[in-house]
Amino acid sequence: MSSWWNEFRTSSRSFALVITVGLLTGFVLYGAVSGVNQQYVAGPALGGVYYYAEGEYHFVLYIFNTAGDPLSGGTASVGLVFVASNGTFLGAAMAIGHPAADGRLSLALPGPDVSASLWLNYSESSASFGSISTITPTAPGAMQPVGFEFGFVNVGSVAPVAALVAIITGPNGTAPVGFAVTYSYSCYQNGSGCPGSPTLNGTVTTLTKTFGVYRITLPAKVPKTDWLTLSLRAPDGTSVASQQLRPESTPSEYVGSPTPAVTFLAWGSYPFELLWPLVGIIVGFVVHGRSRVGSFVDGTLVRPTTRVEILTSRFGAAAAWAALPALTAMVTIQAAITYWFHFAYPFLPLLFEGLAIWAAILTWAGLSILTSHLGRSTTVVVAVPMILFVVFAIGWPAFVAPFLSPLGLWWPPVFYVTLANPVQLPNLMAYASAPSAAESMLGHWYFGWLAILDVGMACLAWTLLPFAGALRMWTWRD
Amino acid sequence: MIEFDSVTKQYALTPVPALDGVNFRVASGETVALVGPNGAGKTTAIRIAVGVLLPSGGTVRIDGHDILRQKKPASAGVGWVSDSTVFDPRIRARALLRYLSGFYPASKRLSRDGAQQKLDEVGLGTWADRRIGTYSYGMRKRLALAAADVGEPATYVLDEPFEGLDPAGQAFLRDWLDERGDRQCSILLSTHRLPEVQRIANRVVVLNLGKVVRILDRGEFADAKITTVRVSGPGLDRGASDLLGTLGEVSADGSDLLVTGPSIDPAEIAQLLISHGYRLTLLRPEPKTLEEAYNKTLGPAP
Repeated sequence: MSSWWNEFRTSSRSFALVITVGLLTGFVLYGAVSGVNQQYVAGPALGGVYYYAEGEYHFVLYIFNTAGDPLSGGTASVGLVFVASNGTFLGAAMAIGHPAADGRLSLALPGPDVSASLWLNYSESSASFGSISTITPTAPGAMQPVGFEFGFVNVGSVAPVAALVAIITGPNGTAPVGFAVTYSYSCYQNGSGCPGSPTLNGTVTTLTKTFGVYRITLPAKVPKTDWLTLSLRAPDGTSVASQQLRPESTPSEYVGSPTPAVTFLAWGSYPFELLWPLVGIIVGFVVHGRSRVGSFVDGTLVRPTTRVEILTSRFGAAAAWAALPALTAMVTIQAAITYWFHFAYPFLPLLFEGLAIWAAILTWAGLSILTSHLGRSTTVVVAVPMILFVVFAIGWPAFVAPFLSPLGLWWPPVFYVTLANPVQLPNLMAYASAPSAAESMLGHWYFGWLAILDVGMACLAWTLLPFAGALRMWTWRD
Repeated sequence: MIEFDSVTKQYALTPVPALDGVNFRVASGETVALVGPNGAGKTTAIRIAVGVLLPSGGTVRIDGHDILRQKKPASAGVGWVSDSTVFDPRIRARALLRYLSGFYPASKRLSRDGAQQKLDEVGLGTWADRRIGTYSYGMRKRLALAAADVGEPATYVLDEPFEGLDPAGQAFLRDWLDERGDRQCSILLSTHRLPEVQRIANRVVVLNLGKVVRILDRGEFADAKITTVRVSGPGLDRGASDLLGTLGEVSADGSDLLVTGPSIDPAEIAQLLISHGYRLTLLRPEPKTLEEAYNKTLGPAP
């Protein structure tokens, strides 16, 4: 056991640390779970197939969440508005029902055999979803012999995951025995195709159930700019229906849009984000500031150890404690996504989120440690970081703006410089790990290694510079 | 062994250096006392010696190891008793000693029983698992002695060790120091208690305004070897004073003359004055204390 480890181990053991970091970890845990859960319930979708027989429209609806799992707690409604070909209003019909536990709801509406506007809606206490489309069952050929509907589920441009929900019935609502779904995925940018892009073809599954709700995972992600062609094939191999889907153009776009891990946590833990600097300050004070202020560190320094060893071991202890909520967030988000969404979230965005929390706490711990070398007063050691927090939260943007605003706030470098202060580290990391969010403001070109480099340097600087400053001050020979 | 080599300490924003080219050494088995008025630089010197304060110039070597460049081996050989408590009051004594022993090689680390034994030795055995914050000042001093012993150093540096101790505590400390002296440990201690210094020190380093103004060997302050002889008689004039000045420092006390110096022989004074025609009515040796030597070195208090 080296003297470094001896100091690390001892400075890590503190009831105050257990309480402080434990409390924050609890908040993070709650935030991650509730954040993912909010995303989970916030995205109900409704898919349906129908057929027309004996003067009635028969609907088989499936209400599902972002994971493709059935929802049953709310109310689904189907409305039809019949309009003659000359535009004359012919009437309307509406039916309401509650989906069964399997998310399925069968409704029948009487109506004439004319073109109709279809209105579908599903609502529950926390969210609702609706869509309007036109159906035309009049011509026998237009009559859908089978029901065939897809909804994208968690198709992320971040993740190599393309999951779909297929809702299928056989002819006139019979069991789709022997039917199969095939797909082809091609790159068709600007309608001219993309030479060199992979073209995937294959059969996803053979469907044999009476009412099919199938989660289909494709072997490649579907970029937003590309098309996915899905076909339902009868037992004899003929294509009886097909759909071309493009992630960003589907009604299920909300469900299928990439959801960065930071979004999950932001949903649930945003009210607690101000706690991170506070916890960092407390961690820094407990592991080093307190003993520095009270001169207890001298009793350690007289032992066979060095200032560098003491400070690095204590900074290491702060880093270890800061890692607890960070790891908790990563593990919890992954576990919650796996539980509710049924897929493994990619590691990189999760890692970014964990690093954001870790860097946010450690930065303030470092500033707290640095402050303890500016003055030997508890008031100074606690108050100065608090003042710094206010300065960075309010003063930094005001300081940066006059220099950079002529260049435009949303010019990417300006944007990132504005964020590159210790209060904004979580947000900075969020933009780096959420390409869709960054793209919407900065344009596609900026997200990438440049942003990652930018974020990485900011985090490294803010975590290491205060520590380096403290070390320099402590080893300064007057 | 401790060697101060041109040690200088200049604090920021203070015009006068706290230490200014301090040179002295404490040999193996030697006890050296650091004395001087308040603000002389004693505590600064001691804190630099144990490595908790960085000098502005020069260095201190412990058993030949530079406290700056060879901090670990240097610190491994020194035990420090601070003038103020440097222990977190929320920690329990036993846990403290075990934590401190964790900086030393495995052979010197304290088990639970080992820590108990160390505390027993300083009379704190029954308080081993109490928080230090509940200790009295004297108990903390005893704990500081136990903490200084962790690592079994050959050199001890003590800053005002007698302060705050009751008579029993002072007696304990004397024994504690004697025992380490018997083991040929090097001891450097700062104190204002000159009688204690006179009893235990081999040498005295007198500091004033950051400088070593005098180093007294034991022969210069112990027992009665530094003496003052009171001389009375009719007609003791300037000539008599000049004659006596050849033997020691002369001062007037009323009509009497006081001759002060090491190893002053009253017979020699008598012979010198009588041979020059003076008559004497009183010739009385007065034991000279370290305190007087100290005051004479530093001059009258401001």
